Amino acid sequence: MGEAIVVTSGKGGVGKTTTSANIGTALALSGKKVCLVDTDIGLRNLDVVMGLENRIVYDLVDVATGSCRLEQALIKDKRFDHLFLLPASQTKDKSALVPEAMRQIVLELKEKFDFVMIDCPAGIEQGFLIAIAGADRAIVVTTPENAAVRDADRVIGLLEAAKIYGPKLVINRIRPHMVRQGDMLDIDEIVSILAIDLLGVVPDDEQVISAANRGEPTVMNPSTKASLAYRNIARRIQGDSVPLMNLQDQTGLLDKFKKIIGMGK
Amino acid sequence: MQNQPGCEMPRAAKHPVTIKGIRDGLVFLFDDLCPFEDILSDLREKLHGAQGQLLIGPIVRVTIQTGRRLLTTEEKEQVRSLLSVYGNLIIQDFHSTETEDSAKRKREAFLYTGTVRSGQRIEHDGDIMIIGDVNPGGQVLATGDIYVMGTMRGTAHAGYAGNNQAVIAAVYFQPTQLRIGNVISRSPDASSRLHVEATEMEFAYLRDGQMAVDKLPNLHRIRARK
Repeated sequence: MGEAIVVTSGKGGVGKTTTSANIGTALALSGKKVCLVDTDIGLRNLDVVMGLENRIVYDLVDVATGSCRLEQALIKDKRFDHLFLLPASQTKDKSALVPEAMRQIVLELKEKFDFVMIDCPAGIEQGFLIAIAGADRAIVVTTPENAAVRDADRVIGLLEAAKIYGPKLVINRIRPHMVRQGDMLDIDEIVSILAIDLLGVVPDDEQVISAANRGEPTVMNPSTKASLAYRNIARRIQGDSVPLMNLQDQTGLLDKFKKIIGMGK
Repeated sequence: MQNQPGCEMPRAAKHPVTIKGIRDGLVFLFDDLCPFEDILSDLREKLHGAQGQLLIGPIVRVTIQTGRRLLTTEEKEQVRSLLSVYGNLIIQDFHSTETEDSAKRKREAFLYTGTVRSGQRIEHDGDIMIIGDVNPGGQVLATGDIYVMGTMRGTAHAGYAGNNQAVIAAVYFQPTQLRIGNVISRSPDASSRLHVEATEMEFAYLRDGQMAVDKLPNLHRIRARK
């Protein structure tokens, strides 16, 4: 029996879909059987980020209404044989999808997979309630902005009310130099407000955007810091204790030399 | 009891015991703010002093009103024995605006453990004690006092039923808005950093209708003054 993890944030645009895709892929990289579920009916993106858009035939609503079997709707990833995507519907009437149907689908998926990653839509209405319906655990994604932290706080309260205890925090798109200058909330401030366990910190990285546009999760390219951060998150989900990586920009050889001879800043 | 302040000062104007005549007897009004000892001594003085003459006569029914104070059986007995020097004074009833239940409920603070998050609302008739933080967007409403054993970042309304004597206390004060009774005060617009250094625990109260903040050890002094 696998585990269902919902990725949620409240606020839109903080990187739920990117986080779902990358954590899911990172878990697959470590050999786990993973299914990604997109619950953002009408505004599906996860298939695009994964580069699987052209393979969609059936979707989540078809499964919920019984128009197809669950296996028919699952799309196998290009890169891994044990990574699948259950896409959201783009046009169909979403009233067909109710929390109880979602719970059944997730239960069925948990029997086949080690991890079921559920990508939640923005907001806290019906879509959110559907996304969290079958989840055992939750990952709350936030960015170092007051508005995003406020919404994350609201969502944590709602998750507790829905009896999903101990959500884990992912802080996305942090810019170390802005934090250093005091222009951005730092990690400690966010963690002290939200008062939940920190699962990982992902630095802001242009590679993430270009990779998403190519339909290839960043985590496949091991040379970027963001990729490393997602891989660490995946290891922590599996119970490894991995220290938070150092986000400071690497100093060049010349700077190091200057420091040694006392000319550094 | 003598060293308890708050009683002596206004007492000059107001007597612990006031005696009023009504159609079917006498009403003894006991002030509910001063120590019970003061009431007994004032009562003794009134009964034996110059006014004592007025109490002699035919049988008079006496009602004793104790305001918000609840007398114990022992205290009632003490009052009875004092009045018994006049055989014609018959105590008919002890009246208090408080019932046993409400007195008990007010004394117990409602304890909430955990973070009050955005969109959550904690409401209680009486005092509230929060073991944890109140985050921006979180609301705490009490008819009595509010104590936050953590950081107060949200909105707190103490004495929301109109009690201007209520206070709001927190270890770290960074509130969005504080309300006491019918007075609302908001935080300054200057963008304050979310992180503050450790300070002493503070509380907000109303001083002449204005929100004021003081250190918690001074709470009893402010309370006494009222």
